[in-house]
Amino acid sequence: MIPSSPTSLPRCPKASGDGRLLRLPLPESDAALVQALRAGREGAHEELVRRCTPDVERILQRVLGPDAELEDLAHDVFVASFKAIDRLRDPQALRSWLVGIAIRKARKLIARRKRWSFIRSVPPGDLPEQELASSSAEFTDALSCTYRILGTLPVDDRIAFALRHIDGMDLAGVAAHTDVSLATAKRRIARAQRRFVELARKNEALAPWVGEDEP
Amino acid sequence: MSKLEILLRRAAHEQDLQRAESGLPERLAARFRDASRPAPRRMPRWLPLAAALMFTAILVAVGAMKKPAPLGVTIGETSAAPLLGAWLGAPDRGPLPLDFSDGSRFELTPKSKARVTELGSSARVELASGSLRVHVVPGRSSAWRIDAGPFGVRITGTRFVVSYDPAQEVFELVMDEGEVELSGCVFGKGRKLAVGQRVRASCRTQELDVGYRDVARPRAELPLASNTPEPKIAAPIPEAAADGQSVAATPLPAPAPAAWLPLARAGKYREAYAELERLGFDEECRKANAETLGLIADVARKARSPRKAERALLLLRRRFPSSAGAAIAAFSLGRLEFDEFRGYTRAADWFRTYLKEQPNGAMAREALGRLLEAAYRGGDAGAARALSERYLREYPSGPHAELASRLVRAP
Repeated sequence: MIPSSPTSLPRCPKASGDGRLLRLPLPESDAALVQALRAGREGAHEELVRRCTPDVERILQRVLGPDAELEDLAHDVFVASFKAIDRLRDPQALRSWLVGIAIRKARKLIARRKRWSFIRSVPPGDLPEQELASSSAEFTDALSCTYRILGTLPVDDRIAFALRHIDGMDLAGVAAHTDVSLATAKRRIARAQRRFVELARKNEALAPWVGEDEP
Repeated sequence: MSKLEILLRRAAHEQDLQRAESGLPERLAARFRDASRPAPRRMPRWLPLAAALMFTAILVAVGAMKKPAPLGVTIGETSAAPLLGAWLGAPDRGPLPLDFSDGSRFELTPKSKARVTELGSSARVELASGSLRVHVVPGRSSAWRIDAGPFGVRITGTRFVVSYDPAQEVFELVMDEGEVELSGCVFGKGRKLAVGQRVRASCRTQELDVGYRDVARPRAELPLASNTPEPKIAAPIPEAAADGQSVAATPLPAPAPAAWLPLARAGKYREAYAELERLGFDEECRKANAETLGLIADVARKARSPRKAERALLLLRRRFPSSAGAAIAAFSLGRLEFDEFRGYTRAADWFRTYLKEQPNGAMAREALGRLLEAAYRGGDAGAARALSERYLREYPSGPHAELASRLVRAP
């Protein structure tokens, strides 16, 4: 049956008359963008990067803190996603899938740095930092120390803690994105929190932020 | 919410603010701009591969004849290469050597920090603090480079000691052999330093002292370190030295016109702002593009000159209304009104403007949170409640959720 209303038909660009090819706009939904990527549509890669970089950047910031390699890592996340785009089962879950890739990339970077720590690689937190957007010196110190302490935790515990307590991700999200059960995610977070509080109490900049009632 | 939770949420908030200004989506998108152009498929599939192999073989053959092999580097006693870009710290009681495969050697003196940032036919090393003894074997085609804060050293084949104290922003270099070219800050685009010369410079005080090693203090053995006494910059030596020895005296060169830019990018906002004022704040704004205007506003705000920041942001919105930075400027104007001028009604207008222009923008959550806070502080209880309900619907665990819940529950 022919649709009764012309508004239900997709809009086509008007012919320009001079034979020029008009480019259709890229779709707004993530699922349709995935289809465009798989079809090799021009501009789809750039659009995906433009659309999803804030999500990827946010997760890398949460997990790594201030880090000179963040931009390159975000680049790697997108390169990996383009290679694996055909394996994405649910195109609607594009952003969540990218976040998962970003977490795995960050995990690899942290693990690699730990392996090289015997030559005393200095974490970026030890180096002169840029001033924070709206903060006192005390808070800047506290933030710097937060990531320094996180750097001493086991990598999986650190990631779970950062996702839960800095990003505010719910437990189910942490479990899904780190590919572990809810119980394991809870255990990692609890373990990281205990250790973090223990070290923070001994830290001059962080001690004022740790109340007596913290577990 | 415990104190620790507040700290961690605030950390996230700071990261959100930094992210809004990072410009990463645009930069990354530009890298992938041409990634999806369909490749022609008419030729046989094996042909590109064969062509690529042949091309590579030719390149390898030509490269083997003309170019030296890429450099390798080992650190200390280990035989493995370092992580490119990872910061290296020398132990407290001994040096940390970096041995390059062409025989060149860098030695980080105790407590110094540096990293290898590029490794190809030559290397690029960034010195964060302390001293680096450098010996580059001549013969490579491209120049080596050392970055130390705002200063740069271009090397072709030489031996010297370079030091940098980030706390005092003092740069020092003592030549043993060869020649180097210095750049950045007081050196401008480039200044050569020859064998036997030494230089001591400070970006902060804009002072520069060039002399000969034998008439200067033996600095080569006294690397700058964080625990050394505060270094004093020697006054420029007059052209005709009293003892008639070959002392090269150097008047201060005029800073480059955009000297504030590297200062700003290095996070030295007060110095960058002073330089902007020296050059003429309005004149620099007039010449700037959207991105630079955003940076000028940022510099002014962080140098505690909110009115100037406001002026730059308003100019950005007026001159580049359709740029990506215009909406961010609206958010920044709201934040200025809120934090600096306590103008909550005007702040609310700016946050509304941002949300209208970028309803799904990176700062949407913060803008809505600030908007409800501005409405609340401005005494508009009805709007604050309505905005709180919207906030809780859209961001139930956002940083303003606690305040929003309180406002919704309020009688």
